[in-house]
Amino acid sequence: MAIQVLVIDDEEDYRIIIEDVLRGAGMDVRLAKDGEEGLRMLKEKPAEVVLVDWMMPRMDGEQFCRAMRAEPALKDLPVLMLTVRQTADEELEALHFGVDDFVVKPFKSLELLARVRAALRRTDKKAA
Amino acid sequence: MTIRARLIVSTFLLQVISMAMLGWGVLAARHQYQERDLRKSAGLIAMAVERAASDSLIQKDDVALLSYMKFLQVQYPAIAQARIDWKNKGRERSATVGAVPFGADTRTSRFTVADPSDSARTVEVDLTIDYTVLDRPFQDANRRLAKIFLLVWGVTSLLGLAISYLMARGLTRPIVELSRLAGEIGGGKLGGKLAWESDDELGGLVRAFNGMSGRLEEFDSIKRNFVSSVTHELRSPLGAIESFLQLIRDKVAAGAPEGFAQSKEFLERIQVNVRRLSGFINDLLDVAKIEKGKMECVLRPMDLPGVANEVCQFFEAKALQQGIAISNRLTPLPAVLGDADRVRQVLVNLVANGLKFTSQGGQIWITGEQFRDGGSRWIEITVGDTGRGMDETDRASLFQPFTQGRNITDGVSGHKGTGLGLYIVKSIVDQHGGKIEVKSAPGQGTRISFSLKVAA
Repeated sequence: MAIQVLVIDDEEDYRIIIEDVLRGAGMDVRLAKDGEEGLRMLKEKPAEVVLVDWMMPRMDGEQFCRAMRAEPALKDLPVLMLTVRQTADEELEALHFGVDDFVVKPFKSLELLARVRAALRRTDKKAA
Repeated sequence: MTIRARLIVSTFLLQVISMAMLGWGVLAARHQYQERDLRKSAGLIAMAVERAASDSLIQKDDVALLSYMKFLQVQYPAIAQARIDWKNKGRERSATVGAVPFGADTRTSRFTVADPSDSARTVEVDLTIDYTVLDRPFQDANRRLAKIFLLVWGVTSLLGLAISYLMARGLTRPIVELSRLAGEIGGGKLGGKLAWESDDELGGLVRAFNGMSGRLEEFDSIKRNFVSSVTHELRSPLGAIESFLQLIRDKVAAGAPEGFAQSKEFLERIQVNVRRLSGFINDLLDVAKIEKGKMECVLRPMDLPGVANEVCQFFEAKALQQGIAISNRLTPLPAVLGDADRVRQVLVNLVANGLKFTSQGGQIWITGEQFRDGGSRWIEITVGDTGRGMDETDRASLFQPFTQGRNITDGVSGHKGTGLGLYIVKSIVDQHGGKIEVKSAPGQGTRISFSLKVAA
């Protein structure tokens, strides 16, 4: 069964790019425009990994992470954060509010896939 | 030497000197009076002696004069010596009472008395008065006065020293604090304020300093915001272009037929991003021109409704996609004086802003109205929308460069932007001699109006 991925980004270009890369790797991709929509979609149907942009209108990446980690069913879901660039302090802060890894824009297709797969591998180990 | 020390020393010196001058003045004035009193007392003594001499001549009693002189000398210790010469038709006799003490301040006066009934008979008296004795009571009074003066002088000097120290400290403390804060600001720690209230010049300086400090902090936060906006505006489309190019390359390399259709779509997206980048760079160049005062508009009679039509057509597809109705409601108008490209830029900016802040089902429109101001005719063009509007705070900073409203991205479609657009718009309208104003309230939509002069 295909891996379920949820991508949350307010910029259409990046939604299209990430969707193309992950589909190309045989994953099942769903797209959301902001944190609110993403959270709603997760509650409707769970995913195995979430990619979320940091800077977004309405509910940004940080608010999304905090809200998601507060849900018992979703608290162990791996989250990759998409950022343009972050300082070491910001990275540390993000790790504190529940981000597992970062993907810095612009990214190479292979790097994106590798990071998604690495996040999935870590959860598999934990489950086993 | 610190300002504080200089203040203390100079006020203290000033006080000491003024006290000394005052004391010297009082003593000098007293001295003048005493001199007069001394002369008066000496005169009285001389008068008494003269009368005694005259009486003894009339009574032809020389011995009486001598004994009277002795009596006077007891009465007036200031009489040091009296030398008496009797003259009677060539016969002379003389007697001396007392002696001149050594080293005393003495003055000798000579007077001659004649017998009124016999002018040949005369008495000549050389009266020597010792001023040291005469002056003694005055000197004692002066010494007492000087003592009092010295005491007062000492006390007020100490008091003055304390007061000048307190005053200098009060004056220099805010200055010391201000220089410490200025050092902090220079070192990059912005926003420091001094809690000091007074109605004097120092209070004014502190207020001005606090205001300056606040403005600097504000500018710093504007700068940070702008740098972060610029980074985002440059990196985001560049990153997208890079990723799209990579995807296209992969698809072309794979050679699958459906990959070509996708690649075409990606190429179009690349084009949109390139436009966004070049638009942003043009905005930066415009701002650079404005800041240098080199934004120039060539004013020629132009067809305003035509330009407005172009702008509406340009945005039609995007508006349709967002579910917003866009309409040009300009009726035929007389030609206005304007730079057609710049006026188009203004309208593009205003309509783009309308699309950014208006949600599905909303409307955007352009209207125009003629009005007179003084001797000239103007047209006021309004771009209105039914969008989310803005509050007073955001309205106040609307045309400031590098600033954006708060919650700029909340419920907004499209990119965050950089806060340059309306600054450029205002500069263009200024160059046309027109005015720009905004009417807006939260949830009430926004109307931005600018005026252009009708071509004569």
